[in-house]
Amino acid sequence: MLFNTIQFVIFMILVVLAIELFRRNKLQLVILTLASYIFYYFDSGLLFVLLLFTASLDFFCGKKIYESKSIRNKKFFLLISIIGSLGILAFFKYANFTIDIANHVVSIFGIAPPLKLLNILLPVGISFYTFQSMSYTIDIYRGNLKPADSFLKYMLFIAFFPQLVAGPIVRASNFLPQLHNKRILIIGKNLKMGLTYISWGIVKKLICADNIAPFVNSIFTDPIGLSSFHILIGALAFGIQIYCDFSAYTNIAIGCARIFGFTFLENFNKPYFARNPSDFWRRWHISLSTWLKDYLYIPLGGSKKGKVRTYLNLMITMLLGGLWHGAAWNFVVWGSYQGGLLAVHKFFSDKINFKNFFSKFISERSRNIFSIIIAQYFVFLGWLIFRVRDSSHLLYSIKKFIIVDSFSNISEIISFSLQNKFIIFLILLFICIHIFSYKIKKVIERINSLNLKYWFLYIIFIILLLLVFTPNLDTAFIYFQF
Amino acid sequence: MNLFINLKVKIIMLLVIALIISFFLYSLIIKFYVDPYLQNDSDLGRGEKIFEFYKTKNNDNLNKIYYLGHSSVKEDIDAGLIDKLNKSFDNYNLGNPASTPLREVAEVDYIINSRPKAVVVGVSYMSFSNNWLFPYDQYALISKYINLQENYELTQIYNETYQEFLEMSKLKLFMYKRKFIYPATDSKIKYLRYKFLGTEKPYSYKKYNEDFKSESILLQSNLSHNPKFLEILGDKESFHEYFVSSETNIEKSAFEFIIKKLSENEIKTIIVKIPLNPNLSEKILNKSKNNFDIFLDGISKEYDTPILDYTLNYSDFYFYDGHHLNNYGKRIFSKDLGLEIIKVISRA
Repeated sequence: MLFNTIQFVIFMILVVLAIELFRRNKLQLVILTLASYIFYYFDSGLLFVLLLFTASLDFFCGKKIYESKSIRNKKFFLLISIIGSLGILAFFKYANFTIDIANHVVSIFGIAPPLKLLNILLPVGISFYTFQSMSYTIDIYRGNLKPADSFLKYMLFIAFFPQLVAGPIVRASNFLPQLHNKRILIIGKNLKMGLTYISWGIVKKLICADNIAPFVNSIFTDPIGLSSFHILIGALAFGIQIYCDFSAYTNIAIGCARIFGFTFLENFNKPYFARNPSDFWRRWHISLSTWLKDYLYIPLGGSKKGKVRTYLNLMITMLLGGLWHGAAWNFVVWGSYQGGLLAVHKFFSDKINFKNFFSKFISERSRNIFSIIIAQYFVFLGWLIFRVRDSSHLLYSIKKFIIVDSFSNISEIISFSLQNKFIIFLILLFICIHIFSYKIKKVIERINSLNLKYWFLYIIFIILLLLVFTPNLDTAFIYFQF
Repeated sequence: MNLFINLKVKIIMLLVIALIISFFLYSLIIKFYVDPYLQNDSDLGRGEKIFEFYKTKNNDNLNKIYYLGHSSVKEDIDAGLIDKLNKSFDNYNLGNPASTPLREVAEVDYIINSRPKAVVVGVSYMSFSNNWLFPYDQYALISKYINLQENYELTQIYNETYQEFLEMSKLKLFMYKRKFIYPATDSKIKYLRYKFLGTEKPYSYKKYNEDFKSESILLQSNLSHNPKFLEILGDKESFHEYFVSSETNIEKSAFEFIIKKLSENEIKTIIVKIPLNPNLSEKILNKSKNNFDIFLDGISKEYDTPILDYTLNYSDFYFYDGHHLNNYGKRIFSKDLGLEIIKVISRA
């Protein structure tokens, strides 16, 4: 059930009504949990059993880890939890990829591929809820968290529908305390804030991402023969598309949760103003990057085991982060590329104090702008790897992105821009809004703080925008596939 | 608590009012901005006008002859000129740019109800190509004239994709029309540029969409060639939109359905192979030409329908581009065709 459909609007209204109807009743949690599993059933059918299994296993293991006196027992239950959760993820997400690799390796030696691909469906949101569930048992093992009071609360934590299929990856330490001694009250303040978040998200998804998507597809379906101008504008458009698509989902998730009184942490913080690769990962998909840092990079040793090991840890973390996105070579390459960028940046920033070095030549403001441009060049180069699956298309696109061919044919560029006026307008509009939201912090909160009559005008404006500019084709969220 | 409850109720009420106001504003945009564009500034309005035309012709007891087909029919046939050749027949050019038999199938019931004397169906290689797609928008815009649930035969012809467009509810069509806001704006900008900057005057399709005699788009110039035509023809490597395969396809089935239904209802049908520029004809594969001829011969025999072949009757002097005649060509072809059709109908 996509957030941008009438079905979801009806579903959400029904859940809100049910919660309101049982306002003073303990059934509220049951309703919300049931609604979440029904929501998941709409998308995944009987595969929702896997969600139930993961929830049951990790709830049980979490309790056992907490109750166990010996470290050995704690480790044992943690291991069961991790093997159980990762085992399901590995089977459903990576089995065919592994078989494919095995067959390729064997075929190098002239042997016919012995293994057939399995006929398995990828359960929606499995990567998100698996990581969410794993963090719960690991946090209990580390002594940072107490187990959930009840299985019901844990089931709700794992499956809470706003963030179930595409994040953000919520930590139990953030969510479970919000369930303690609490009735779910739908209050005006939260309703207003929630609707503001949702409206902002829907505009980003339906007007920006969905209108740009066909343009991006037209460029990258077969980029061979296109000029650097086309590839550069295609990469720029895809960067905007994926940001608007994914951050829109997060906004809607945060908004829906807020209506029920829950607060999720932000998942994006103006990523295209990042000044270096580390900064980018502090701003992009924050819930995943912090998860990777806390549960992978630091356990691997982080930066505490020497320089070479630090670079290696960065590479491993990002490689696995890339693989988390999907079982495909382009995600492996993209993850490695991101790891490489982080390692190279770490190497140079350890050697050179960029701030002091450049302050001799240029002002701080110019240095910041320069850093942003350089960092974003590499970010958008990375988006090419993320978007273009065919290797020959990818190599061609990268070549055109790096070695910019002649821009002499200005008339062709003008005619291309005129043919795609609306897309160019959207790209420019996005850049302006991104700059505006960078300068004027907390745009959504500011809109929310508007007097009711101005907020009312804002809502009319947003609905009218949606009615006028939503493309007629329904498009799923990009991160649904992960 | 009371304060919160009041705020909540207020927000819900404001949301509902905002929805109503926004929908009202949207409906104004569609009514006063998009609909006029579709009717007057785009050829998309013609599809709807053709259905309105059929309704006006029910039971008028005139000897009507309809000409169906794509832009070649619309541009190349002067129905007014044919009227003058024999006053006892009333000729109507119902050609529609880019149309294919699949689109024309939707009109069959309307044609039958209006009882014409004969229906002339103009075809060219594009009519049966798998690579020529009539825009889905046109199916959406005529959806209010089609009731697939009551017409089992049409559901056999149209696959699910087409059915989705043809079965569009009024509300869905109302929402669908938003996609024309952008072209409508583009058209308005062109008009403003003409008005204030003196650029070329944009063509008004109002008359073109409503005319069923001889009104053409700008293509009908006195030029023997569109200056760009030979250049485009020379550069073009693939002519896939003209490729007719030996296999049956949705367009061929639709064409056969049209001829069959009209014949069953005792309406005379005549197939016309539309004139083609010899320069373009040279580039089209013989295999494609043979497949086209074999298919039409089969239909002709099966339903006793004559074929009038004008494919290579005219030199390139009479063409504006690949398959649209210029003014000289239009006059000559209309006269030749008109006389031949009168003969065929008289014989019948």
